[in-house]
Amino acid sequence: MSTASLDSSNAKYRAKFIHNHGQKPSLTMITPSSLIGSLYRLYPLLIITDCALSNLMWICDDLCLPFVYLVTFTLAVNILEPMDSIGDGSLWRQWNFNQVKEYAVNTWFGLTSVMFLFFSFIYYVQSVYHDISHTEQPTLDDIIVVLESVLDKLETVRKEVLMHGLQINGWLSLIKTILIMTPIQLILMKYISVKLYTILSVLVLGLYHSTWFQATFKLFWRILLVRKFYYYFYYIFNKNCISKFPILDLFDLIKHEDLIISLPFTKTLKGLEDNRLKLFIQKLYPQDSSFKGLTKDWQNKNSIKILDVKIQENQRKWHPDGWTSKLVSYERSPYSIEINNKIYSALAPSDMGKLIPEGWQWLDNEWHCTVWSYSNTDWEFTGLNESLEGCTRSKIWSRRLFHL
Amino acid sequence: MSEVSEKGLIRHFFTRRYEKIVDSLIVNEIEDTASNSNRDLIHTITASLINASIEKYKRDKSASTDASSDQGSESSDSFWKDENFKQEYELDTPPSTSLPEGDGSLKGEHQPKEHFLDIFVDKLISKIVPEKLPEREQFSERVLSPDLKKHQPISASTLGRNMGKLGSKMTAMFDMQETVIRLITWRNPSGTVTLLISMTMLFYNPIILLLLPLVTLMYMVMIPGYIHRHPLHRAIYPSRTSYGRSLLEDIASSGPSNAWYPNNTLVESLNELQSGDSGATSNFSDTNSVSHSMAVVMNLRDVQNITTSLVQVSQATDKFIYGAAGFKDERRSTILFFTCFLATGCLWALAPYINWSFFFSFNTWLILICIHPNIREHLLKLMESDKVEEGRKALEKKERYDVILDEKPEVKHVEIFEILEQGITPHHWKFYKFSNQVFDPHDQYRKLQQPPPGVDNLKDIEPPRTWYFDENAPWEVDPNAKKWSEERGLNLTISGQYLVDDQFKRRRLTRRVLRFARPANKPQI
Repeated sequence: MSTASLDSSNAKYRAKFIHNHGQKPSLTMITPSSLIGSLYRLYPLLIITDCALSNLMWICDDLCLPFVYLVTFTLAVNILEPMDSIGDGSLWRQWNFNQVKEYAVNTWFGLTSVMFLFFSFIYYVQSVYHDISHTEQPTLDDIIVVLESVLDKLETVRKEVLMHGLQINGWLSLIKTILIMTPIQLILMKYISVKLYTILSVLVLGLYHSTWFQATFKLFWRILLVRKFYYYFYYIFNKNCISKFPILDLFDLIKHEDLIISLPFTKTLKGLEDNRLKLFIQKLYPQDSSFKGLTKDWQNKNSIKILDVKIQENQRKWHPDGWTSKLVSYERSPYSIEINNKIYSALAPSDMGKLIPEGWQWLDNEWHCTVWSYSNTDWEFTGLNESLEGCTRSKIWSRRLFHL
Repeated sequence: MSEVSEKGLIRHFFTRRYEKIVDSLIVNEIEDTASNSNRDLIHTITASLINASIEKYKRDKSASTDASSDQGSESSDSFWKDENFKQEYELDTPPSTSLPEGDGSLKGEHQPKEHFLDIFVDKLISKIVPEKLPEREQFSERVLSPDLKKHQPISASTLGRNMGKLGSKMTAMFDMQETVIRLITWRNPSGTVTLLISMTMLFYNPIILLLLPLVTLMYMVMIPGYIHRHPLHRAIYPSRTSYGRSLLEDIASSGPSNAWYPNNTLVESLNELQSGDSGATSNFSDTNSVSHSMAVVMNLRDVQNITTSLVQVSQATDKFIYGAAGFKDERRSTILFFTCFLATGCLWALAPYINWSFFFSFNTWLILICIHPNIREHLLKLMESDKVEEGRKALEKKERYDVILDEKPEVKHVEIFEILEQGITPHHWKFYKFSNQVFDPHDQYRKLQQPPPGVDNLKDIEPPRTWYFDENAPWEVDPNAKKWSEERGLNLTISGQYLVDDQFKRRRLTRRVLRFARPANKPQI
């Protein structure tokens, strides 16, 4: 009440956020009793899962606990080393007292850590069951809150796992991945021991979902150099739909059959001179009209070929300078043409008209351009107005050529 | 005699009683949180004034009760009595001390009377600040250990007294600071070289750091103490003029003509006084006291300087923490993070292959040589040259495009209610207001028969602070009136998009708002 009146006294009247946690009808009356029963039996498991996920994501109350667990996990990996050496017999062949002593200490620490982890897990589970049985019974809403918390955390974990890393789509990229990763893995195994490999994996797994790790990821993603590296590898595994070279000019464009439309060379057109013919076609098909219903059969000798050149001018918003035509090296060029869902670099409209292939003439007197359409950083359309979401924008310059 | 004591007793009783009443009044005043803050402050100050005058009155009457706090300082004075010279101290002490204790009034008279203002400030502080201050640890760790509680009420006079005592004792500390500055700025070249050599030794053999306190204790504290008591007579014959100069000092000060010497007029004058005619001995105690009070004032000035530089350092730190490291400028902070990350990685990888002893000692030598006044001048000239500036500008220009800030903005939705008023006929509705309030029959404004706060035009509505409307998403009517009315617990008739009552109907409009980032943190002042 008071905030609203404060708002009104100011010159600006501000809208309020929609809060989604409004009054909800109680679930107790509408939920079947069998479901309530099974949910109640599930409650301790939910609490344990929730706790495990909070530890994995480092969002529990006591941040030192996940650290202690992580260290004990890495210590537990120490058991692997003596096993390695005993396995290939090197331990017994080269009998060295100091080495054996070191192994013994490591193994002792490893076993103690395993025992500690095991017992702390058992103790926690036991204490959860004990606490639930000795305190007030949870209501259905309590259970639902924990369930929602678990689901939300699982969703975050899923998103974080899928967001980063190279996505593998299709058999070809799978084979490529195997072909590239196998030698890397072999080289790694040659220089890194199983123990170190496991310790590194445990560390990465343990830290991956922490806010520090994720925030570092995001900050690194801002660095252009990192992105260039990423996309370099990305395009090895995925089809690149951007072709930067060669930069297409009109000579290249007339070779692309898909861009050319044939106009039947009717009797009415036959008697017309160049200029009058141009005016007639212009009248028949104004610049912003489409050539719907016309064939793309340009083999037909008795037809007028029309090439509709549509050049996209692309810009990106940079933090210090605003909109500039400087684009990132892995994305499209400042001027591009889209042919069959593939984006090619093209000359700027002003340069495009300098050299015209023989027999071709401009149908339109000048270039016609649309308004800017804004898109996000991946060139996905967001709207025709500039907003915080729009990091890139493009507009289309179009002009037509014809050939008798 | 009995009459007098009876009178005193009654007066004492009344004083106590009066104090209790005033105290309870003050407590009531302070606990009364409903009144506004200004009035509170005035009340507190008045109460403190009254209390202070009572306190002053009480202290004047019974000074003995307060003497307990000064017993500590007295006992510390007795510490300085030398066991070898007991007889001298016994002669010096006035006979009054041999009197049996209990006559505290004598002692009280020796105490300097506290100024009224001091008492007033003390009272004021004790009224404003809760008497039982929580220990620092309780703030940070919520550990409630009964042993840790030391309820020492905050007092301006204690603080001032402590400062006064420390003020005269801090000479050594500031001397030390001055020495370090002299060494770093090459005012004492041989000292600087000695420092550098000892630092090099320390870097190559860090265990020296552990031995240093022991050696300092032995040779800087104990041996001088011993020599003071049992002087080893070394005859030094001072010559009137000194011949020859040291090569090291001449190199460091680039010849005797350019040498920098501190302005030692005070020392010289003191020397003159000391070594002058015999008549000066009477003035000596004067000069001594002057220099002592001077030292106190100088120390206080140095304390002030230290606090000023502390404030500057804290301000600079704040600027760094909330500016460069706080993502106020996203691009710069990102680059800083990336650089730090790379540096950490490189250090981690290279650390085992670096000779740290050499690294540190070499750099210390290098830095101190660069700091030398003559060399620093040249370096500064070199740094200010145009080429460096040009290089920096070129680098900055290149850096502009190495960070992409294209993260998806935060998305939320805002709502506004379009309220319509019933016209003459039941089917005739006219626009009333755009408002945050639903304006249902229980609305306070409606009960007062006032229009709710709001605007008449949708364009006048602003997004919440720090947010922007998505220009590509216009206001949209929420078609599901049932949902939002249920969420608010409203039990009104639903007619299409509208929620209708006998006089008004309203529908909800929603719009997308965006925000790139939350505003950067600011230091708490």
